[in-house]
Amino acid sequence: MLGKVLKNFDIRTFWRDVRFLKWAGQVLFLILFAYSLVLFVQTGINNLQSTNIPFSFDFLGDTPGVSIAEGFETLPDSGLRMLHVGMFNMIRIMIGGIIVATIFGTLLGIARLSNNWIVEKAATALLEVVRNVPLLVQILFFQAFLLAFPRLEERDRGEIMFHVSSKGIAYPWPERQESAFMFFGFLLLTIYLARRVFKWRVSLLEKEGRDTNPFLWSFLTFLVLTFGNWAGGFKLMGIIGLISGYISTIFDSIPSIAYQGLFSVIAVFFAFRYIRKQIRNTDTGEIRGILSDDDYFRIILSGVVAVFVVLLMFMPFGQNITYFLEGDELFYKSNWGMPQFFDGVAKRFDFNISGPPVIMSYPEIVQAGTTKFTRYSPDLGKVTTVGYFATWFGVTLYTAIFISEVVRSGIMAISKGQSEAGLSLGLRRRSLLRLIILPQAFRVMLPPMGNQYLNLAKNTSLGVAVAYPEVVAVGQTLYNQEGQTLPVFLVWMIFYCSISLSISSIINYYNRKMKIVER
Amino acid sequence: MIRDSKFFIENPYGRWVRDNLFSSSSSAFLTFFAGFMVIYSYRGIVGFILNPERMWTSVTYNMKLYMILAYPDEAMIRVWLSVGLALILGGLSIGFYNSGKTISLGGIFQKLFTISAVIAILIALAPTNTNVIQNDGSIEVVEIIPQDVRMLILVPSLVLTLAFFFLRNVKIKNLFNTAKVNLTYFGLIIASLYFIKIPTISLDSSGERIIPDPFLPIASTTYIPWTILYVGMLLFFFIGSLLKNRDIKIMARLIPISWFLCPLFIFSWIFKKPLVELNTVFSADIPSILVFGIIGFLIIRFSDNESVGVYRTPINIGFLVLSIVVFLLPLVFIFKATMVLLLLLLVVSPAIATTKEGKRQLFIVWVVSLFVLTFLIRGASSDTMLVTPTGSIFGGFSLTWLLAIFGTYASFPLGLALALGRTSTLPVIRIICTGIIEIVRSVPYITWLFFASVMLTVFLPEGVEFNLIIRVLILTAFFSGAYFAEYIRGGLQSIPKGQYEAANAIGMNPFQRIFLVIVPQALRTIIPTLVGSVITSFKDSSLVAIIGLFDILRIGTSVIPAQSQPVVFIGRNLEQLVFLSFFFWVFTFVFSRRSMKFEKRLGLGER
Repeated sequence: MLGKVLKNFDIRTFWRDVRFLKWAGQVLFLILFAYSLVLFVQTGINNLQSTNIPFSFDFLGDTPGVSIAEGFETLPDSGLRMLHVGMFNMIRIMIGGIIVATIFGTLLGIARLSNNWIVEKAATALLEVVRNVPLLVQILFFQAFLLAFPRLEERDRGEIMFHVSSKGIAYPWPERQESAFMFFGFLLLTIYLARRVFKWRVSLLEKEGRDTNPFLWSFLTFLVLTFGNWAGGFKLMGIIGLISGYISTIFDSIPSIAYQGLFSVIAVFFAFRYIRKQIRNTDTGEIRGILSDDDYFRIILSGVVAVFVVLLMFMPFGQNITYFLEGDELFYKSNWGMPQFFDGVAKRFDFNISGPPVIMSYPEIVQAGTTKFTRYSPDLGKVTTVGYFATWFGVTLYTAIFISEVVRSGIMAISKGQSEAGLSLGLRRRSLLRLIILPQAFRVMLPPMGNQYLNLAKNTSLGVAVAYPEVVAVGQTLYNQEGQTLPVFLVWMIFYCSISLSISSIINYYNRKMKIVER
Repeated sequence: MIRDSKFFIENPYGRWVRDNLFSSSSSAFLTFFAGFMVIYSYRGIVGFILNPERMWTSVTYNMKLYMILAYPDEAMIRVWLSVGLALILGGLSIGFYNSGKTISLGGIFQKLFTISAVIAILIALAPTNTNVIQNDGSIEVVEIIPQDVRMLILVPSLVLTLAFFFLRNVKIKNLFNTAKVNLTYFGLIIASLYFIKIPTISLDSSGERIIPDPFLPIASTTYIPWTILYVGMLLFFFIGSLLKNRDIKIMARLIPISWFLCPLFIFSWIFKKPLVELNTVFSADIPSILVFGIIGFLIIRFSDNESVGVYRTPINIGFLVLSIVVFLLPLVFIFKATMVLLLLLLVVSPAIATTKEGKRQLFIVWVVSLFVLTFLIRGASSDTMLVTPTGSIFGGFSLTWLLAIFGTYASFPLGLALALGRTSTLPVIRIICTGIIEIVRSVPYITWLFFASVMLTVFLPEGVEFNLIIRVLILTAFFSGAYFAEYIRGGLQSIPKGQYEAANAIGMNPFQRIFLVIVPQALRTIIPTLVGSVITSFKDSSLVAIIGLFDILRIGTSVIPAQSQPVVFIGRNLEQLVFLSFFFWVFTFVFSRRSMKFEKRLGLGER
């Protein structure tokens, strides 16, 4: 073989051979890239060492000694905890923003296609204004707008219904009571039952051809069950608590390593089997051995799930779970989560709990500590701070506008024959939109919609301009405190990459599910 | 029912109202609801703007600060020259491209009818009073539009509306040039600078503010330069239409190239006032032009020579290696930049320099571009002679503009390279490019700006120090480049496979195939997306305010609301933000509308 190659080797043809040129070019490129990367990193390390702040992640464990304006913890005891607060604040805005922006954007997109002249023009005007002004200017405007309201000190102390001041917006909020978990558990069951009733009535309609009022039936079911639920029906959920209690006792009596190992092995086994199946499926016919991006995605996802389950088995989640479910007391010596989890469930779902699930709590203006200033009471009602409101409102409105464009183009992509066919069947416009147009448009809309969600997630970082403590602002505080700019930047990068990846994998999952099956 | 009355069925206006506002009961409800919302918000906005608490003089008084920050007064002529260059080019291109369209007198009256009707409706709906929230939370009602003022505007506009309503049906065959009509409107705006008077903050000889503010023309200090610029624009408009009538083909190429070079020229020479030493010109620039001119001449001369053609591949590789070597050696920057240009020439010359005429033209282009490149780089790399208190001559809108334009200029080639790398069949290059694109895109712009402001210096070798503006530009180039790359990739994927095969079939090498066949077609399909992302980078450039660059937003949010000399503007945030929103809105809106027309002229999406 080699002899044959050497015999035919001719230097004149060799350096004109495309295969040689391709690989030579790539190797050259790789060398140049790696060289410049190494140079870059080397200079960075050298410069850092000469500035007396060597690269380290130690600040994650140290107490930062600064407070955060809002979040689940205002005086974090470590840098990592502080970053957690920032991440949580960011995710809070992101989820609220995604939900509201989707609803509002869809409505706006439909309004832009409306037959009604004034509705269409109003929607277009809103779009043209919001789309052409930088988001940062809008966020700063909303902040300045709220800050222009009178100071809270001007108002008398005491309970209030709804109040806007330069400290934020205060409004009543239903506060969760002891029975809330059971109530919402029963609510989920109710929704499931109502859906079943709806399907049953629809199948009856299809079978017998008479109007069976599916919506009315399911709505009545929902109403009756929810009323019963509120009146005390949630006590039924105590059965779950009873079973959980037994499971918890069983788990506690077996040495934990037994089921830690068992569950890990099961998870790894199933992941392995799934991956093998995926590879075998592609190993036949014309696409022999070639994996598509989707296949890679599935394989990587199942691997990640398996690793996650194994980690879950051996990580000390017990403290966090008890903290979440039972307050701050630690009951168990074991730091593994399973027994605590089931015991917590048993405590939450108890036959003896009674009383309404939520109680309205009204905001109150109180004295701030021992100072002469006033503030909204942090425990009563709900207070939206200026930074949160400005960031959330700005980001949501901005994204909703872009979502409306996505919705509009998605609806317009559906051929006119579809709506004509629906109208000729005698559907009303609302039903036409709900049953025929939107489900089809959804398929077209999904990828650009995912892009908009990603943009929303990234745009929340503008909260740093209005002093809202999301992850960028918190990171900035941290590196001003400790001087560790690069590690903070790496944390940002990892955090945003994982957020982007999770959003795009969710969108990918739905995209695959919605895709037209082609034969 | 009223809906079925004669008016709503037979009259065209009634018919329109019936079809568009009251087509069904839910539509009628929506009409009332949306109408209420629109009028309510309009009245709210007018009340907000005319509220006596607002101090709009804080915006008008600081207009110079907004535009150029602390640009020295004695060099103001340079600012006007920059604006003038853009306006003159604008006039030239309007004259050259748009002088063909015409509009009838009826059409003009139709437009004027719409405008006066809108003014009449707006003034009729405007609120009389507005609420002022006092410090103790109580609300005071203040009159903002007195009845006589309202009548003063409402009655003439109503009369005009009626007059234009009847005039718009006149059948006069006279046709007017649209461009000329538009220029007349622009001239009216310029004339209004002399006549319309607004309250202006002015100081007396001892530096005290004159109260109440005297009424002065809008541009009391700048109407003369504006008039001169307008006259220049008119002049170049007529030159442009003259060139169009003479049918001079080369202008169709020269005008886009001038638009491309105009910002570069402005920022490297006009705005900057570079300190050029003759010494460096003789030791670096002239030798560079001579050497590269001769090399380029040789390349063009022998590009279709058969005995040389056999060795084309080693020659190309040799030049590639040479350019890498030139880049790594500590040479004058001009040599490095010209080397890139030479590589481009090497790629295009075999395709163009096939005839004697082609060779001559390519040589002229080569020499001209050598001169232009050297000239621009000499200006850009020299220090400025201007002294400013802030240390940088760029600030305010000039900085925003600089960031937006140069961000685009720098990111476009980078994006193209990344896109080509990502669609390449070579695995190593593809993986690296994909990695760069995905990592850059998944992190928000603001974190990259923080990277530029506090972290980039760490990675630079000792002795190399960039200005913060340059660092921001580098990161912007990467960030927008990654986005551009994704759009360009979309365009590249839309090119049918036949184009590649056809290029192969006529014996093009890979570079020619990509740069002469694939990329031009791909770019043409994605022009709308690219324009959209240029608008996005213009809007995103406002983010540099967070990292402390004095762009127009930072002046509005931190400089002016902290002013106390000579007039107290402390806490005047809202006015600045409203003005800035309007300012950005005008630019992006006009730009996007122009680009839509441009797309239509190119006939995109109609293939």
